[in-house]
Amino acid sequence: MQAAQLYTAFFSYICSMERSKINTRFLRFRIGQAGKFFREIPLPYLAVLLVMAGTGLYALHAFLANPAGRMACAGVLIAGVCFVHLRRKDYHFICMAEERVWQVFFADYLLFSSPVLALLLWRGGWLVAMGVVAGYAGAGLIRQPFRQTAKGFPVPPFIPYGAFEARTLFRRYGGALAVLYLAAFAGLLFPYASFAPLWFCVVLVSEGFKDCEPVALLNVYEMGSKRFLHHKIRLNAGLYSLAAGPPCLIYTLIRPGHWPLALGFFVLAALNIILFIVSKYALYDPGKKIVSGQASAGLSLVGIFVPFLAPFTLFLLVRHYLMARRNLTPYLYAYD
Amino acid sequence: MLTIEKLTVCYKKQPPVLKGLSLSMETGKVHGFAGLNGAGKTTLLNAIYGFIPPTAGQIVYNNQPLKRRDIAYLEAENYFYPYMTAREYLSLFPEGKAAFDTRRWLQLFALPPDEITERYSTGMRKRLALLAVLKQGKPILILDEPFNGLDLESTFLLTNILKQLQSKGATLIITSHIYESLTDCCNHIHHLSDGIIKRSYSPEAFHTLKEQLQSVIQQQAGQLISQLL
Repeated sequence: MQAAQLYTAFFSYICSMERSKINTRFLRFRIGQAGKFFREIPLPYLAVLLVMAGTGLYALHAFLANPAGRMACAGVLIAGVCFVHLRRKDYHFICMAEERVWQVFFADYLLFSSPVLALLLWRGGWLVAMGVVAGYAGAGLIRQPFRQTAKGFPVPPFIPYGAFEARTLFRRYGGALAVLYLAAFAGLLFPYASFAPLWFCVVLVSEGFKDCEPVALLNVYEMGSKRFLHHKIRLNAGLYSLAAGPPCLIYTLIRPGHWPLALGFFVLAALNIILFIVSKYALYDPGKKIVSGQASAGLSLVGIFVPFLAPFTLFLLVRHYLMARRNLTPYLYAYD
Repeated sequence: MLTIEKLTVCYKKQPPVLKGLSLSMETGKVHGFAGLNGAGKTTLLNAIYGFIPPTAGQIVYNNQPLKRRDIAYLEAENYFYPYMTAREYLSLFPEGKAAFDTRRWLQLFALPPDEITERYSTGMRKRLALLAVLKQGKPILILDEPFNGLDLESTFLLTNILKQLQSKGATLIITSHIYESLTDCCNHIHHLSDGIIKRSYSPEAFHTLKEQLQSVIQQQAGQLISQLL
C-alpha cells in the first residue's frame, strides 16, 4: 500500500513536471508523429500489427504474473531504452533545441512504453514499474558521444574481408554486440533469458544490411546474380552459425527439454539473416541506404518469437529472393 | 583491336544517346574521349563495360565479343561502403597477373590504410578507387573523369602511371574535361558529339583545336559576358 502511495506521488510529480517544465510543444509534436506513423500504415498491415500487439500484450500479461517475469520485463525495458538512447539520431538536435534535455528524453520513453508500464501496474508490479521509470530517468541523463572513435571497434580477425557487412557492422556496433553476446552467455543460467539479447543481436545485424555497396564491389566476384546471391547467403549464414550456434547449443545441453525453442530460435533467426541479405539486393540502389520495407522486416524480426509468423518470413524470403535476382541482373548479367 | 560497330544506345523510350557510333581503337594505346556535357561520353563507357546493353551494334575485342572480365572500370563518382577502411576495400579486389603491393601503393598515393573511407577527401576517394582498378590488372581500363578532384601531384602521378601501363600493353579509355590532362597522356583523342564520333585527333592537333575553340568563345561570348557582368 505504501508503495502504491509512493508511486502515485511520483507519478503526479512527473505529470506536473510534464505540464510545467517539459516543452509541451515537443510532446505534442511527438504525439503528432506517432499519429502520423499509424495513419501511414496500410490498413491490412495495421490490422496484422494490432493483432500482433494484442497477442504480445496478452503473452506479456501472462508473463508478468510472477515476480521473475516482471523483473525480466523491467530489465529488457531499461536495456532497450538505454540502447535506443545511445543510438537515437535526434539526440544532438534535441540537445541544441531544448533546455531540459533529459526531461524530453524521459517523457519520450515514458510515453512510448506506457502500454507495457500500464500492464506492469495492472499486474501489481508497482515497485518494479517505479524502478523502470527511475531507469528511464537515468537513461535520459546518459550522454551520447559526438563521434565514433577513429578506427571504431576492433574487427575480429576471423571475419573474412568478403563479409564486409559483418566487418563494418562490428566496427560500428562492436561494443553493443559484445555486451549482448556476453549477456546471452550469462543468461544461460536462467531459462529463456539468453534469447532476448540474442534477438537484439539479430536486430543489430539487420542494420548492417541497410547500406548498398558500390557497383565495383558487386563485380568483384565476377558472378551472375544467382551465384552472387548464393555466395553472399552462404558466407553470412556461416558467420551467423559460428556466432549463434554456441549459445543455442549450450542452452540445449543445459535444458534438453527446451530443444525445440533453441532450434526454433536458431532457424528463425537464420531465416531473418538471409532475409536481410536478399532484401538488401531486392531494393539495391548503388551507394544508397535502404529505407523502404522496414515495416515488413520488423514484423519478420518479431516473428522470431511468434512462430505463427514464420510463413510470413518465408513468404518475404521467397519474394525478395526473386526480386533480388531480377534487380541484380542489370548489374551482373555480363557474368551469366 | 577494340572495335565498336554501329553502336546505338537508348535509355528506355527516350531518343538514342549514341546513334550508330563506329570506332576502331588500337590496343595498347591510350584513347581519350572529349565532348560537351551530355555528348554521351559516360554512356559510351557504360556500354563498353556492359552496364547498358546496346540497342543495336556490337563491341569486338581481338575478333571476339568484348567480355566484362577483360575490363576494369573507374566510375566518375566514387563512393564506398560505410565504415569500410581502404585496406578492406582493396583486399576485396582480386589481383591481376602481377603482384600488387597494397602497402606500397597506399603509401605512394598517401592514403592511410586503416582510416574509414568516409573521412577521405574527394581526391583521396578518387585515388583509392583508382588503386582498386590498378590492382585488378585487366587488359582494358576504362577511366571516367580520372583527373577530377586530384591535386597537381596526384595528376602527375596518374599521368605517369597511365603511360607506364600503356607501355606494358594495357588499353586505356579515358574521358576528361581537363583537356591538358588528355593531351598529356593520350595517343588518340576522339571528339564525341551528338551521339557519334565527329573526328579523331592526335594530341597535338587536339591542342591546336582547343586553342582555336578558346579564341572563338572569347570573341563570340566575351562581349556579352562583359555586358552582363
